[in-house]
Amino acid sequence: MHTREVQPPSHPCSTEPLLPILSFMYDPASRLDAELEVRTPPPSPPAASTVIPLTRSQVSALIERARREGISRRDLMKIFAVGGLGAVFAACERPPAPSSSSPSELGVADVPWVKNPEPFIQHPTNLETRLELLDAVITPNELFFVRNHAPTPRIDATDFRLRVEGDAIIEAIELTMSDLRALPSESVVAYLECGGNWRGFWGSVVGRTAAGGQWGTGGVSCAEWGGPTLASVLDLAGIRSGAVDVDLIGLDEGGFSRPMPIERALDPTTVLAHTMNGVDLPPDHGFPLRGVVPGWVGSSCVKWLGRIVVSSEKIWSRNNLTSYVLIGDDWPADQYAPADGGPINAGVVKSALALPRPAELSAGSNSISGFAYSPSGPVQRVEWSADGGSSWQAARILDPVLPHAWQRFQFEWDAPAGSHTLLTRATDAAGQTQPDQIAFNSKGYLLNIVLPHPVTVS
Amino acid sequence: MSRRTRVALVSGVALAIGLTLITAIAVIGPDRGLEGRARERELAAEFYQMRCAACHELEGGIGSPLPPRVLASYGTAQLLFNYVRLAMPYEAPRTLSNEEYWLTVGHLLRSRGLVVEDAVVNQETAEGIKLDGSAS
Repeated sequence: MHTREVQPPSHPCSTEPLLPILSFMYDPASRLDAELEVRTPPPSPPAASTVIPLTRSQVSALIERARREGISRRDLMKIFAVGGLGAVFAACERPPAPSSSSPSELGVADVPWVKNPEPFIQHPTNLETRLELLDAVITPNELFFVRNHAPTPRIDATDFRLRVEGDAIIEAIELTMSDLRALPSESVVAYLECGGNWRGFWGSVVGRTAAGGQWGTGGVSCAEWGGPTLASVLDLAGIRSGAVDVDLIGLDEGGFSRPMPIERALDPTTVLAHTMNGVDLPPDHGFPLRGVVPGWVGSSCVKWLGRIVVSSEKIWSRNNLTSYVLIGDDWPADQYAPADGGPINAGVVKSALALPRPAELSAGSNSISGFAYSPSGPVQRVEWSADGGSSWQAARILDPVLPHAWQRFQFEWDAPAGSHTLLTRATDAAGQTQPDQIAFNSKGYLLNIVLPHPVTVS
Repeated sequence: MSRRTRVALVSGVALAIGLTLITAIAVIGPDRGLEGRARERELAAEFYQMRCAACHELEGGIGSPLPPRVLASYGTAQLLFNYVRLAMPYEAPRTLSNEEYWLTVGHLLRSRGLVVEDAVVNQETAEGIKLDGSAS
C-alpha cells in the first residue's frame, strides 16, 4: 500500500570494519600471518553463524585504517590478540570514520532526515533549530526542528491510505489523500515542542544529568498547519459510545505511536495536517499526513500518520509506558502502573532568547528578542533580568498574538562590557510562571526552570 | 553386479558418509561454535564497556540504563539494531561497522535477559528474535 524508498538496514555492509578481525579468532581456517588471507562471503551464509566473514573491501579498509594510524597489519593483530578490542581502539585513538558509501549503496538510510541539516544543531536523530535564525512567529519549513525516532520514510501520496479502525469504530474505513483534502480544512498556527526540549540543561541548572537527547532550547518551532480536524475524520467512520483512547500510528520504521484520550482527539483544535506553512508537508515533517495537537508535546503529533485506532480500552504503547513519562521521586511508579512514571501530555510555560549560547554582543544598546509559549494559550507576561534575578523588567510582547502559537518578545538592554547572565521568565494566561526550582525526572522532560543565558559583551 | 546391488551399495556408502558427517558436526562443530560464541560474548561485553557504558551504565550518564522493558519496546532485535545503528554512539552516530552494532545489540539482549545466554544475534536471526522477554 505504501512505498518506502528507505529500507531498514538488514545487510552486513560494513562501514569501517574493525571487528572483522574477530573472524581470525573464530575461524581456524584463517591465519594470523602477515599475509592476510582474503575470503569472500559464502553465497548463502549459514544461519546463526558466529563467524563474521571478511570481504576484500573490509580487509582493505582495515589495513588502510591501520596504515593511517601508523600501525602495521602484524602489529594490529598482535595488539588485538594481547589486549583485545579495547587495546585496538586505544592504539587507533579515534573512532572509525563515517561510511563513505552512499545510502543507495548500503541499502539503508545513512541519515535520519531529508532536509539540509546545515542550519541546525545536529543530534543523532534530531535537528535542533537555532532560535537566533528566527525573526517571526512562523518558522520557515527549512528551519523547523526535526525529531525523528527512525529515518524519514519516503511515502508515495498516490498510494497512501489512512486506515481508521478499532473496536470503538462503527465501520473501519480507508481514506486517500484526495478524500482527506476534500474534507473541510482548518488552519491553526501552533508551536510544536519536543517533550525533552532543554534536556541538556538539567545538569547545569539542577545538578543532575538527564538521560536522552541533549537538546538545547531549539527543540521547538511554530508553523501554520492545514487539514481536517481529527474529529471530522473519526466521524466518517463513526465512533461508538464508550470510546476511551485514540492511537495515532506512523508509517515510519517501528510505527511510532502515541495514544490520546478520546476527549482530546475530538477537540476541534486537533487536526490532521497535510499542509505546513501553505505547502504540502515536507518529508521530515510527516508527508503526507500528520497529527497536530496544539499545546501537547510534540510526540503527540504523530508524523507520517497511516493508521488510527479507536479503542474502548486504555491503549498502551512504548510512548506512554516507558518513554514520555516522568520518572523520579515525585512520581512513584506504583501510582502509574503499568507505566514507568507520570504521563506527559501538555507542555509547560517557557521562554528562551533568540541568541546563540553563549552569546556575544557589543557594549551599548542591544535589542534582544526571544520566544515564549505555553499550552494554556498566549503568554501574558515576559520579564527579563540582567542581575541574576534581583530585579526584573517587563519585555514587550510582539504582535501577532495567536491562541496556539508562541509569542515573540523583545527588550532593550544597555549592555556594559563583561560577562553576564540574562534571565527571562514567562507567565501564561493561567497564571503559571516559570519556576526557580523543579523536581528532577530521570528522562529529563518538561524542564522549564528560569534558564540562565550566558552573554559576553565586548 | 546387478543394478539393484549397485543401488544398494551406493546407498550404503552415501548413508555411511552422511552418518560420518553428522557425527563430526555433532562432536566437533558444536565445540568450535560454542568456543566462538563464548569469545564473541566476551568481546561484545568488552566493546559495550568501552563504547557505551560511560553513558548507559554510570550514574549521571546521559544514556538511559536500558532496562529490559525499554529494549523490549522495540519489538524485535532487528528494530533495536536499526535504532542503535541510526543513533549511536551519541557523539558520533552511524560510525561503527554493522558487526560492531550487532555485537552491541547482542550484548544488550543477553545482559538484560531478553535472550538466552548463548543466543546468536545477527542479521540472519534478528528479525525472528521477538523482544517480549519470554526467552529469558
